[in-house]
Amino acid sequence: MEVIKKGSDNVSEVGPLGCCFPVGTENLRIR
Amino acid sequence: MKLSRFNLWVENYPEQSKYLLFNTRTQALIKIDQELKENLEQLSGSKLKENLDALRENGIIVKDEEEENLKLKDFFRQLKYESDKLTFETTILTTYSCNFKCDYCFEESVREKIFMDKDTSDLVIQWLINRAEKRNLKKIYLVYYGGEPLLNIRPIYDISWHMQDWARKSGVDFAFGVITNGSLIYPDLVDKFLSVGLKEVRVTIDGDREAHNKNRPFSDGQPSFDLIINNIKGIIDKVKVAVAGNFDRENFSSIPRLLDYLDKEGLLYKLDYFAFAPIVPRLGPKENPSAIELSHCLSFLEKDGLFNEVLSIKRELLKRKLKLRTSGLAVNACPLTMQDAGVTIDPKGLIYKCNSLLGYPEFSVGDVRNEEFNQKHDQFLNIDAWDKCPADCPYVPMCQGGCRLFSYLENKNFSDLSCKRGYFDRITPELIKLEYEKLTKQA
Repeated sequence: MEVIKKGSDNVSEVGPLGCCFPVGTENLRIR
Repeated sequence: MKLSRFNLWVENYPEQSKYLLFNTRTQALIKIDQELKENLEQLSGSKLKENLDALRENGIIVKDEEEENLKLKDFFRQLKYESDKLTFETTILTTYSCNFKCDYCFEESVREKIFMDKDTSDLVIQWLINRAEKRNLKKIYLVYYGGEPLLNIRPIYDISWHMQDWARKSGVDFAFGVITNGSLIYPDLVDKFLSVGLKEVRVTIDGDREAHNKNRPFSDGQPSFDLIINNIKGIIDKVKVAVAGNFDRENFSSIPRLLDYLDKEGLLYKLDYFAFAPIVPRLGPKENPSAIELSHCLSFLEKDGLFNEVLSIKRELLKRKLKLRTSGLAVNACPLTMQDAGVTIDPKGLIYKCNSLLGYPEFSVGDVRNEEFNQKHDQFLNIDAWDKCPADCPYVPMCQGGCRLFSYLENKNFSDLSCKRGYFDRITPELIKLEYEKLTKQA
């Protein structure tokens, strides 16, 4: 088993966070 | 013990008999072989025993349903109330005015010649400092935005100068970025901004010359592409520059041509990162926001939507070894439902929590003239759309019941589900592969 990205119960560590809906797009903030 | 219901499998990747396993709650990504996969399916075996601690730590295996439900609740509690652990990011609009006329501009209905004045920018400074002190914030990042923010540069300098000065004295990290159409950014301006904390400039380019000039002309219809490229050349060695762009079916195929052109001009590998996103619908006229415009753009989430386009742009960037801002596997941390997070202040000093609601005062959550948010802030904060999600949906932590703006566009309220499970089913396995490629190649 190889851990590519470590998971966490702590939201501040799981990122990337942000107004980023829907998943797959970068964000809604681009004009 | 049981397998987490938030596990997603990608089979036979990156090679035959290897599997990627992604957990949407913990965001763990692991690679396993056939034997461990079979052990996991049967919840027994020597390989499972050997890796049990790591599988639990990464949330792939949980004790029982009750433990998983508690962890999910805690996940949403953290998202809502502990955003102060993250960088405090505030967007500031120096103006609603713009020297471009982009067809799809989400501020089309609210674009006005309103500029942030000195009194308001002083109040912004005070509001930010009060907020930071009250919440004991350690990192502050400002994003200047508009309209076109560089039509009104005084607040950018004033606010940043004061915030940088205060941050130095208070032991707080401070920096800022500017999101601009690229028509007014010059080396001497960058020098001036660098002295007060500028970290990054993000310029919007919508494809090659032809596609961009069609989408993003000056207000008088004149083309803007060549000027923007020249301006980027003037600043690229001084500051990080990122390129973002908007696409639909028409201009999407021109993005690789833009990348070719940037390469030919010696810019491609000097740019910091790239972010391209589908054009989204916008609220209707000021007096009737629910009469949405560009509603056909919502179709990129439907059966025949822009899945392949979204993915092919990411693959194109990865193929060229360019930096993606994200692979796309992000948690939709909606600022509307997060305490303090994602604040945007408009030129009048009104505070919003979603940029797509800018300019509609009925959706504002406060005013820099008052230290506390208004009632609307609490109404948004108390929305828990994820509570209505089907229990068997593995995407709940990433999606949280969907974008609140989309809920408004579809249901005329902010609290219902805006379920896009079909979209997730189609795109997520591919995003997991991209995430794997990104992490293993950029390591």
